[in-house]
Amino acid sequence: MSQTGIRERAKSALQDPLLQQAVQFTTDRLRTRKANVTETFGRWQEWRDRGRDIRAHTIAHLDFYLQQFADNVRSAGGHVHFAADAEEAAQAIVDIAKKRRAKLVVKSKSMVSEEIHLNRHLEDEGIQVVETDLGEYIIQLAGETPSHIIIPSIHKTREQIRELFTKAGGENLTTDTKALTGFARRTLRTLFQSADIGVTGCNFGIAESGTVVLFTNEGNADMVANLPRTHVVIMGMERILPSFADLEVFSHLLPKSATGQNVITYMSCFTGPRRDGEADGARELHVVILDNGRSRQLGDADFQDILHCIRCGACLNVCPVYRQIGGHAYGSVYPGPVGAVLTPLLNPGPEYADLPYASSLCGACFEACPVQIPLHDMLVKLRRRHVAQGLAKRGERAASRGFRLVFARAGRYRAIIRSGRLGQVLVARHGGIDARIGPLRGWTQTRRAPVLAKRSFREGWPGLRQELRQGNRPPATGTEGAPAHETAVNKE
Amino acid sequence: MEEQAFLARIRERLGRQDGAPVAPYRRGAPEFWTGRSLSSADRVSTFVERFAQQGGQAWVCPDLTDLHNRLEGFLRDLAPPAIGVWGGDTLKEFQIDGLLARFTVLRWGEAPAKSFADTHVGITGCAAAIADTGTLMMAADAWRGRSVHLLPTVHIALLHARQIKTRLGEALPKPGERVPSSLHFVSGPSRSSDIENDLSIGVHGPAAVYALVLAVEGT
Repeated sequence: MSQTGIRERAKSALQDPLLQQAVQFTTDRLRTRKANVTETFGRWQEWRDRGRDIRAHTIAHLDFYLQQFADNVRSAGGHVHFAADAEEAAQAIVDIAKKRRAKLVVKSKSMVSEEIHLNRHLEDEGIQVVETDLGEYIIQLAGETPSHIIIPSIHKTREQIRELFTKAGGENLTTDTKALTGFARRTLRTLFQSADIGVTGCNFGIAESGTVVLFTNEGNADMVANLPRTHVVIMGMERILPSFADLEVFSHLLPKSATGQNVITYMSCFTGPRRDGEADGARELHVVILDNGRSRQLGDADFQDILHCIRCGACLNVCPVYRQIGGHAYGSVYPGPVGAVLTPLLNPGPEYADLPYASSLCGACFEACPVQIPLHDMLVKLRRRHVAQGLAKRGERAASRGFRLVFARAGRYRAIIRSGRLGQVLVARHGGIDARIGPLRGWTQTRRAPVLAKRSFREGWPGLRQELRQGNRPPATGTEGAPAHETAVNKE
Repeated sequence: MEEQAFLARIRERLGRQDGAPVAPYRRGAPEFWTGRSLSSADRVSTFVERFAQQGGQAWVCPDLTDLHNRLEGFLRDLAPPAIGVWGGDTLKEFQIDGLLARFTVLRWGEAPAKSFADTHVGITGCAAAIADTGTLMMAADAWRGRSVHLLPTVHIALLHARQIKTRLGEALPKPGERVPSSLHFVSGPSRSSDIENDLSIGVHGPAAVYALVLAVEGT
């Protein structure tokens, strides 16, 4: 909301050409791949419809399915913890770690674990935490946070990665991808073997069986879940699907939307811990189910649908704003259009009230969404809510009041246009305005504002109407001043 | 937070009564999808093609001799210091014991689980395969350890053509069915694009996945 809001963060992102280039290259690539794979697959809209229907049904009956899921996790031998907020969730996991006297925790990628600041909580207890997704491992070594939901390290170059890996003990590393991944494989393998606890997120929880389903490409989540003695799953409470039959739908929607892959490399379904006679797999399974502001969206006609989100990141890849500023500018765990909606919903108040303004409202996010969440509508409704709560800036409030004043009466509108035309003489140069003054400043800082037309459409309309009545098309070049269609639209 | 209070909060927000019935909904994949079926020959050829698209390699073996020749060829080329194999009778139909006699072999359920960390090749069967996506499904139990196909650099799966289903839904557990502790769906080798969008293979899981599909019924 203040000067450290998205405007400032975006400004610093815009001054980093490497970051911009990387973000644009990655989002272009993911978007093109998605377009190709969905076209080959066919009937994509019908799949989206089914996806939306299943998610809407699940969320509308979430109490029922969550109870069924928890009961089935327990009957498969797992433990379930319910956490009202981030603090409770982190505490539940810290308690498990302390009870197990854990020294080393390995993790696979989980946005929710970022949401509850799990690493900090564990490290405060003297427990070492290692991220094992290659991209997350890289940014953990760099002491940073993810910049993309799916590819967290898009802002790092291979030379930077080589330096980070060398500092982490890699000897004679080249910048070759193979050499770098080879180092990560060797280093992380030994950590998987010696870790006390593995923490994963959860892409879907199957209610009918109490199954936790993970989608990964690298296979690190399988190491994290299977090799340490204890497996802790942290999941948002909305991550439920009623049945395995429904999982078939999302096994197509998720990877195709996220990375344009026809199928994810590893889909792993865990139903309870290892069973009698089995010699691998975690001996103990804990599932931590998090609310943290999610239940507040239930029953809210404007925002309940945000809980349908399956965290594919497709909305990031099509967003013209994300494309320019990257993930860090959103200042929270969830970037892009979904973040601009979800973050202020989960954290009401002034801190993130400016995020819904980081959008052009073009609706590309809605078109890309595999479950058709109307993100662009939600962005407008959030702006309205912020105004109603008095969170809007003074300038914005004044501008809106002025707009209402002028546009409510035709006479006022005419008068303001006329005086504007006179006034612009002072600042217009070559048919455009560059001066960074008054209410124009926000626009002219980065672009040219067009000058007002010599004659507005309204002023030209009586003559135009007469011509239309007479059945004549307006002439290409007018006799009295410029032709109507040129006076209405500025040609600059 | 206490479980019932947590669920009650959700129920209240949704305006639902405790124990209120669940409305019907259209479950699972669209009917145009579930109504499809490929012939058994098409299932095999589609599986082989899609498995290759995922970066794996699959061969159709007309008989056991052919399967043995191919497997022997792989192992000769790879010269693995240690091979991990599913235990018990799980691979009996493929009759590979004689062929493996020349190698150091760790059998799941007999050798200690930790020792599989040092295997270079893992040989398994599968619970099912999926033609649509080129996918192998492994279900864990006492003889079918997860580590056998997860830890080595090369995973070789042996399967019968009849195990190949058209779509994922046919391989997923049905309502009320007992679900294994781990169901693992594998579509090709481990992959990552986290370094400058450059695809790299084998960052955590196997770098190569081979499937040998036995086209006739095993003896």
